[in-house]
Amino acid sequence: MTAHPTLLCDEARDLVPLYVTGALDDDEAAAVREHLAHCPQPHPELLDLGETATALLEAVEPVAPPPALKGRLLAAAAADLASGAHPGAQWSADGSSMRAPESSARDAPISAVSPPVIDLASERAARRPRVAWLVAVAAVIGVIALGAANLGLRRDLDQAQAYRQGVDQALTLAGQPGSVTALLAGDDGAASGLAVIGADGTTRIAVRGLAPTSGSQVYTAWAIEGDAAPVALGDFTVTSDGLATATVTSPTATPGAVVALTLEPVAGATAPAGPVVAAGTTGEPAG
Amino acid sequence: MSDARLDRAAVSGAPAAPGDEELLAGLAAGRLEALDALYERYASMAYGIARRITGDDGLAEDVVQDAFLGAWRSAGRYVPGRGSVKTWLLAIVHHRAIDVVRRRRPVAELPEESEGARTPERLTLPDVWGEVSGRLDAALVTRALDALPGPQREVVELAYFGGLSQTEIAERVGVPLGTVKSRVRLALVGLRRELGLTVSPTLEAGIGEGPP
Repeated sequence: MTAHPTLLCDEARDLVPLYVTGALDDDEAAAVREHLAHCPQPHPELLDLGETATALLEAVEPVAPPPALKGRLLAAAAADLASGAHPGAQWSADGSSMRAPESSARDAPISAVSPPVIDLASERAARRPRVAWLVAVAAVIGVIALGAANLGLRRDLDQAQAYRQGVDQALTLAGQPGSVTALLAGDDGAASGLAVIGADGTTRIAVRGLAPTSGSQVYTAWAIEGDAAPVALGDFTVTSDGLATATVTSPTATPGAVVALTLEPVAGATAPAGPVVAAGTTGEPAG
Repeated sequence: MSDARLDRAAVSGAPAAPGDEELLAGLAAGRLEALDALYERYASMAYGIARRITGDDGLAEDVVQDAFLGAWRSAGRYVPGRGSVKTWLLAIVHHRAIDVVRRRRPVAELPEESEGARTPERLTLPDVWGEVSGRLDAALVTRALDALPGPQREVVELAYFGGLSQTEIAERVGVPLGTVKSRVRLALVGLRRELGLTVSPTLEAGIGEGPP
């Protein structure tokens, strides 16, 4: 392919039909884009043919996506808010204004809010037998651990195995009646995992990709219900392999509560002060 | 600061069925329920398009998630005068699906991606999505497409829904590049006519094209 450092107006105009239908190679498309961005002449054909191409999307038969997709999308969007990746994120990087993003009483209800998580209860009901479901979910998360790790292969495997065990324990709790589960995610997927809060307040958290703690530093897990102040679930440290599993006992959490992890300078914080490293929202309780 | 933005979005969202632009303002303000509502409205169209292009249910799900996540993050960059929210969103889906198809074709397989926390890498926002297309009706567009001569329809579909480049189309169809170029242009001009849209003289004239 020839590079197109500059295009004449006629050449650009000539390529517009291919440009708007996506039929140009990357370098050709870049040259057209470059020309259009800087050309003093109007290029009405770009808008005319662009809207014509886009109109073709109307002719495609709609197909309902699998129901679980919405949960995954909303979980990822919630993680954006928690990590500050979303431009409108309410949670500042220092975590001082931490608040559940979707539960402000001042928000006019546009529609019922679905919990931004995979609804474990309904997923389980849909898949039988139950053991097979647990294995399937654990396998998926195990793949995440392997895919995201940056360390040597040997350590990857050890880490994946340890993480898998933490996930297995959490999923066992998740299957018990009244347990609620939140998928946790941080900026750019660096930290990810899940938190399960049982009906008796037992909480199991398995997260990978957290930076190791040093000195007196701890990670603190918080549950945030609506506009209420965050309640600390417990503290834990992370070893140099970036892996943490924690079991803490806490007040129970209701569906829709946000679980967030912050990095705190010392243990025993009663209000979050450090940055949010991962967060997610709990779904409907297991039946 | 963000609270003030939220309040404004909330107040303007008073009617029972908020408009697409209101929902998009909600996305820009970080309101998950606005994303939820926009998804409910357009997920089926988005998934239909992604499936048509990728031909794979799993990839199509990834495309839809990436596209909505891209809209979530970039809602502030939507320019109201340049087209409807719906078309903007569907154009993002289209871009993403074509990206995925193109990346998949030459190399073996994409690496496994995580499920809960997928973050799309540099999603392209559409620069052209059109004023009118959001108001067109599916039956009208289908009729317009059916009215095209077969060879013109073929190249447009290979490009727009197949993700093929002009070179690949030329090979597939067995015609010179210039012919691909003129067929695509004639197809788009023909569609505009069938859709009752204006066709300027410059659109009629092709330069350096082979025989149609």
